[in-house]
Amino acid sequence: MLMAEACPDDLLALSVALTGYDRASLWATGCVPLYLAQLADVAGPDLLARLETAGREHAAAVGADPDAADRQLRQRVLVDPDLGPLARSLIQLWYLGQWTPMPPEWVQRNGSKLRDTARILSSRAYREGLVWDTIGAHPMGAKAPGFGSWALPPAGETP
Amino acid sequence: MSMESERDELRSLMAQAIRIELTTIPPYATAAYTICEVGQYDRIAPTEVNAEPLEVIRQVMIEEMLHMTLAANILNALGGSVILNQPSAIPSYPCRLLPSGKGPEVRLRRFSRDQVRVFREIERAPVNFDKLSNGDCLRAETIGGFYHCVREKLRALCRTHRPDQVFCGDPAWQVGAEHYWGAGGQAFAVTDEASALRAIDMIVDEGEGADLGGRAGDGDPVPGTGEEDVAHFFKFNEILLSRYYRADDHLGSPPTGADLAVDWSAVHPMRDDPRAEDFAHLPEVHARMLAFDQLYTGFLLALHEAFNGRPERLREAVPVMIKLRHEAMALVRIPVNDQGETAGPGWTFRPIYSTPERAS
Repeated sequence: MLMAEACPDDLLALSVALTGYDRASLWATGCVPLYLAQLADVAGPDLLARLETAGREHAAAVGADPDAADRQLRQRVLVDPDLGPLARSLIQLWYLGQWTPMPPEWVQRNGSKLRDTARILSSRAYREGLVWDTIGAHPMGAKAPGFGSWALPPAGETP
Repeated sequence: MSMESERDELRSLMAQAIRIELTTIPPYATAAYTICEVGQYDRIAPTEVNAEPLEVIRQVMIEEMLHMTLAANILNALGGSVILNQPSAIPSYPCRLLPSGKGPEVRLRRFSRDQVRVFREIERAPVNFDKLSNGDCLRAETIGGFYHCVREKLRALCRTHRPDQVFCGDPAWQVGAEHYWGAGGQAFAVTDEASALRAIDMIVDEGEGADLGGRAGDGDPVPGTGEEDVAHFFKFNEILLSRYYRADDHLGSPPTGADLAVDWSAVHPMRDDPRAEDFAHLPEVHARMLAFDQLYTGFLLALHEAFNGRPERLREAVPVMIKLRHEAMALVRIPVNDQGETAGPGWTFRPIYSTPERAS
């Protein structure tokens, strides 16, 4: 199996905080190694280490005071000119299976990266996007829900 | 024995038949869903990995679903009732395949040579039919031997009694092609001796090809291609030997068809016989496994209704089967320990379990 060079625990903790899905759900996509490798390729070792630290600290703080932990994550990561764009692309990656390239300001600060291109990372990444679960639908053209399923209310919908 | 007690015995044997067919499906499904599928290796280009063994197991599995349906039709034709809403009627794993306790131990394990050998053993033809005829069917040592014995009893009953005494069930309870489609062949109504024997023969032929003299072919065309399909015993042997059988190949000689590519390493390392209880220390995994069990339980309850006078409910079961597949494939990707073993579907019947909110 392809393994990310990145430390999965801390980056998974960060992903849990950013997506609102638990670890088991993120593993269940089958995309953890692929996504963390993509993140590592674009972030580079220094920024990746800062993201790991942010994930670790959030995981340690979230139990005692979730609101404070989330506030701290916004301040440390999402508004940071280097970490913010990476975190936002990571959110989109989990939800859509698609990498969104860094904005020009980020590239000016950190240089351009070979793998920082807009693309769906694999056919599995498309199928396993969290967005489908969030909206109670299935990825178009994949994971067909079966004949006649259109007669049933969407998952999570009360008729 | 009176007509009633003979018919009662046949009913209880058909209830056993349904249980045997149902017993095979979760292990087959589990092995199939632990196979790594598209997009596993290559970061960019999706690669087909193990698509062939996955398809072979899938074909066997959906034929087992047909067999279970045909067995239910026979039981209903005999005026019996199918029970799928009681924990005692639903297999839990590990278990023995046959009421005699003979045959392989059936477990929920990942796709591996050992597990496919067990599958092949499940579908193995009996060595000696004579030993079993007119005997105690519950002591049969293979599925084929069991059905052979049931077949003889059914024929004996039909020889001595009027058809309307034997086949006293409500024909409206029969599951026919209008309720069951696209999976492993066609379901048909059982209303008399001829259709009951045809159903039993189909189950046995597709399993082992036993009645066909050791020939690989099962007498049915593969949908779409029109070529003759091969029996389950041979299908599992195809995977072990990495080569397809032709219908005219025989038991005991190697297959002569095309190569069948199998990558035994491209498999999710699912822990053997996963059960939700074993993962209580991992609340997220535990909740997800219970959710799977609940989905499976709801599915069995829908089947129970479908086989008890509401055959149109089978339609609702189709999307649930597909959900079960996607959920099982998700579970086997979740690591549960430092050895890298993963969770998996437990296929546990939990009728009084209520939905918790998925932790997120």
